[in-house]
Amino acid sequence: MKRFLITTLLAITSTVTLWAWGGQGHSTVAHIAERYMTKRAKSNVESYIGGRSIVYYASWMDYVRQFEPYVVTTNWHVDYWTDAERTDSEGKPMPPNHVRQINRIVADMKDDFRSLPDSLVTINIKFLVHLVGDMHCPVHIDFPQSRPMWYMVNGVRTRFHKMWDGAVISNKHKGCSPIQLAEEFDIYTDEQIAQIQQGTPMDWHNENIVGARRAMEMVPADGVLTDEYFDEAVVIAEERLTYAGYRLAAILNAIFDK
Amino acid sequence: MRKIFTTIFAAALIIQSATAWTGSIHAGIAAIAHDNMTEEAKSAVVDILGGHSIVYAASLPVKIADNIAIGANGKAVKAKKAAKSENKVVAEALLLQEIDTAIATLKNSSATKEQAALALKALVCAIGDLHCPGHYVYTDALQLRDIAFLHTKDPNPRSFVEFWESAAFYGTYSWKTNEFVHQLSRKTPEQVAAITAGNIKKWAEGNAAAYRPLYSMVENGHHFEKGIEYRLWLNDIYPIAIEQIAVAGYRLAAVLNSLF
Repeated sequence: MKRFLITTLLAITSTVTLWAWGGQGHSTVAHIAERYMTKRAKSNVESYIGGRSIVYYASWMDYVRQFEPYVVTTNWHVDYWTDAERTDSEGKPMPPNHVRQINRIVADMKDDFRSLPDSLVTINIKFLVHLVGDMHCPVHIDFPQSRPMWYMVNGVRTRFHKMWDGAVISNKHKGCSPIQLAEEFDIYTDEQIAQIQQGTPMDWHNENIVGARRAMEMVPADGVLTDEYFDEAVVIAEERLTYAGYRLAAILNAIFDK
Repeated sequence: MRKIFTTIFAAALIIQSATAWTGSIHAGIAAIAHDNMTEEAKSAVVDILGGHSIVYAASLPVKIADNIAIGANGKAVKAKKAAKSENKVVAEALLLQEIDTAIATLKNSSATKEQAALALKALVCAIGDLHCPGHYVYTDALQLRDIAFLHTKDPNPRSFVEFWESAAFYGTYSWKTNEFVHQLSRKTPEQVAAITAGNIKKWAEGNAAAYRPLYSMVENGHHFEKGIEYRLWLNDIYPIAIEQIAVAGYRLAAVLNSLF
């Protein structure tokens, strides 16, 4: 019976919609990226999204994922962790979902984005702006043991993933707009930023695993999340959001500064 | 007796819609306007408001009558005319009257600073409301205004008017004032010229025609039982809300630039 209940619970929780950083976090990532995009890259990108800022589309993938033709993107947001090595049909190592999609989009566009249909470039921009944020969110490495976890946050029973979606940032930065958060988080030197932008999406994913494990490990045994938890969690979240912003800028500059 | 009934009914309509866009959306509209005002206009506003910008005016409470009645022919109508021609009880096109009065006060060189400040506040609020679909009363279909529905996150029925005041936008975005400018104050000069062409009455009538189909997008008493159903509906709605907010900002700037 116990086994049945656990299985049922896992089945229920694993199908719960996962909403990444939330609007505040995703918008902050995009604002930070905008600060480091070249003028030419920014102009090219905006020409494909109706003159809008990339910030406008920062959470767009979350609004459309449940509807056709975007249902196929539902699983792109998260790395459903497995201890076994993931391989493709040819037995080659396979990156997790979000990294695979980012790699695919970059490979498609890096040489000459202008040779692609406009609609494809447009949708690829919307995907990139969101997925680079998602892949830096600790709970987007979805460890099986974290799925059924509930915690008490401000007296409210909250799922682990949802807590990181919004509460970690909003608890400490209530009332701050994403523009303001971008200004506050963007504290690294040019040399540090250049260092952060080094590597590949897979490297960045491996780095995120550290934060993801820490986010789980530091939960108190009684499951009641106190100010101490949020004090430490927000430091991780701020770093993750900021790194995501710098790296999104690097990706967009590499594709569109031409 | 009929006169009393008319008065009560019109008053009820006014009270029902007194909240308009939420204050933060009005502030966003004013911020877009500020970003597109001439230096002369900004300076005149600062003078009237004792050192404050138009965004400050948007954050102040002001009571205005905020309905606009639209007759069967799509034109803004006044109560007497509508009552006579359609034999119906309707609110007057009070919002347009508020705007006319505010503009007349701002043009009046003998108006006091206090009167001008009050007029400016009313104008900021009224131009915003002019671009909120919930503020249009279609005299040949008054019941459209009473459409109420439920959705999963809110167990209490909300009217279409209430929905447009906030959830139509805030169901998707949670922008603060400076976000409105960053996201929406980026039209090309050609787009701005097209948006600001015409006059206030023409804008109202254009909006009235554009907003009417919105009332058919949900049935009275409809319950969005699943979040996914509500999200799908919001996905159609929020781009409309955003465009109306942007348009209101540019038009408010145009009105203030022409005044000052």
